[in-house]
Amino acid sequence: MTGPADEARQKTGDALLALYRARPQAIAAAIVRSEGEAQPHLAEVEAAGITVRRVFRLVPALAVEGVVADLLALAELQWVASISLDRELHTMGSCPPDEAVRPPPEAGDAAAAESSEKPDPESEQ
Amino acid sequence: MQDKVHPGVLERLGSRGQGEAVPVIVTYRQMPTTAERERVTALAERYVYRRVPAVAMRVTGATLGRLNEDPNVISVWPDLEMHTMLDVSAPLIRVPEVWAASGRGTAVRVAVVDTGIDPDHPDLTGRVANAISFAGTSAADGNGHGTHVAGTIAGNGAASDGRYVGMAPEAYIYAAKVLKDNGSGLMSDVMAGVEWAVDQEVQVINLSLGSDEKSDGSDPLSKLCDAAADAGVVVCVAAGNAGPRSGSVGTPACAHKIITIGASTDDDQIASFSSRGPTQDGRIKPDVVFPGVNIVAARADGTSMGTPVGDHYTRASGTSMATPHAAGVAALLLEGLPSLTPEELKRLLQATAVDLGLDSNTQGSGRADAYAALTGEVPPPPPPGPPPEPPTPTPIPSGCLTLPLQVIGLR
Repeated sequence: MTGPADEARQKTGDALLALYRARPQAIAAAIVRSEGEAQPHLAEVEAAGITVRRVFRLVPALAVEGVVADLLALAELQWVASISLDRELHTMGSCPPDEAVRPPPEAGDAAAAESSEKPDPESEQ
Repeated sequence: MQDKVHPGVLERLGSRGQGEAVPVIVTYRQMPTTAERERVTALAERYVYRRVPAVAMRVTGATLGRLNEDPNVISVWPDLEMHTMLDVSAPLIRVPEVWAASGRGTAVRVAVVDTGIDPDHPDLTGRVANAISFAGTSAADGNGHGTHVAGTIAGNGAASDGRYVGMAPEAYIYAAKVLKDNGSGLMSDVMAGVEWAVDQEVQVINLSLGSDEKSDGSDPLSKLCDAAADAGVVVCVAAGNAGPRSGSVGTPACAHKIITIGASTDDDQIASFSSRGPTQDGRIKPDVVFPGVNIVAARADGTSMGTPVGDHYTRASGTSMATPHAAGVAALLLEGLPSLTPEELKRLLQATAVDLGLDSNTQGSGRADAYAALTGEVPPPPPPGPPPEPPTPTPIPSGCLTLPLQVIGLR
């Protein structure tokens, strides 16, 4: 039978758990998904010393920021469905076109190396 | 009058008044004499070609009937407006035929949730309906990625005399800046951008972004994208650029109800960088592929993403570039078939895609064909590859006698 701590752990994303083990007092951004609307729970979250950055409606969720240990404590609340790190995303453009299909030229194949197109500059992440 | 007359001709005739003529090109088995042509068409001709038995002319409904009954007529095609395209990508996926048949995405609302936008780019001026930033700055695109994506969707080619035209050059763009000028941003900011787009009542959302981290589609952004689809919005998401490794589709590409877009080349190969499925929970991804290599589109002022082409354009590759092809085509399909739900549109693209003969987790259902999706027709197969090299003959040892063999009874 799982206890409250186990249930809380199951609601918590692996990356957030790992951060807790490594640096429990670090400040992190997280996304909390709620059972039912998230808006009614704002005061409770803020009372725990956690900053609410955004409130979502399409899916009931909050974007929050706070001490990792405090964020994990949220997972013990009944209305919290899950909590995970607010991950960084990035664009999906500017791949080197000459590698789009053909493998790179063989080492020592000077003619092929000269004729191959230079990759696009890394001007964005 | 279906056998010889291209549907685009009938569409155009239907939109004109009684007795008005439309331009067509008629192909013949053999070029009829002037007198023979006059009997059928009253000689409303523009060009009589010499090297092929074809005539460009203007026809009314009555003329069309006589042409259809003429045994010497092979076909009647719409005399399409020609543009040099964004790339070869647009004619490859038969976007011009869609324009001729049902329009150029007029007033369809498409959201670009990305690095922002250059609303003063000549190709987009006057059609950026709204813009907002969730990245802590203005909505201006200091990276270039968002503007390139927007240009692929809806650029009208004004800065290139019509050379580089997007998929839906009469659509409206709603731009949400959710990524900073370095091209990265928080998942929660992307969620805010998607939610804003839904509140703006857009019909399509383009997400040329993501994380390579594996997902089963249960992460918050994927769930929110699914919710946007439930709200009636077509959501097109880049598969990712972590290919060709298996299982390299991340979030939100793993969402269930969105359309996950892989990248193909102009000769219908899959770009090596295009992320492959399956998802963490074993679902096939991508859903369909679109061209995404060497795509020339609008360049935001002051940026240098990709390889600049002239003052106003830049060339770039990625599933980021494939995805706005999908979003633009979705806009065209919604103009022609406005009652389509996101699920129906996704199934339509998949059902009419050109099978490239590859694993489903590489190509999805295949390379999309916009005109086939509009009409429901089976698309033409891709051109055959080069014939295989003949095997190198094995030298026969001296002293051996060779005889032809006939294998009987085996299949």
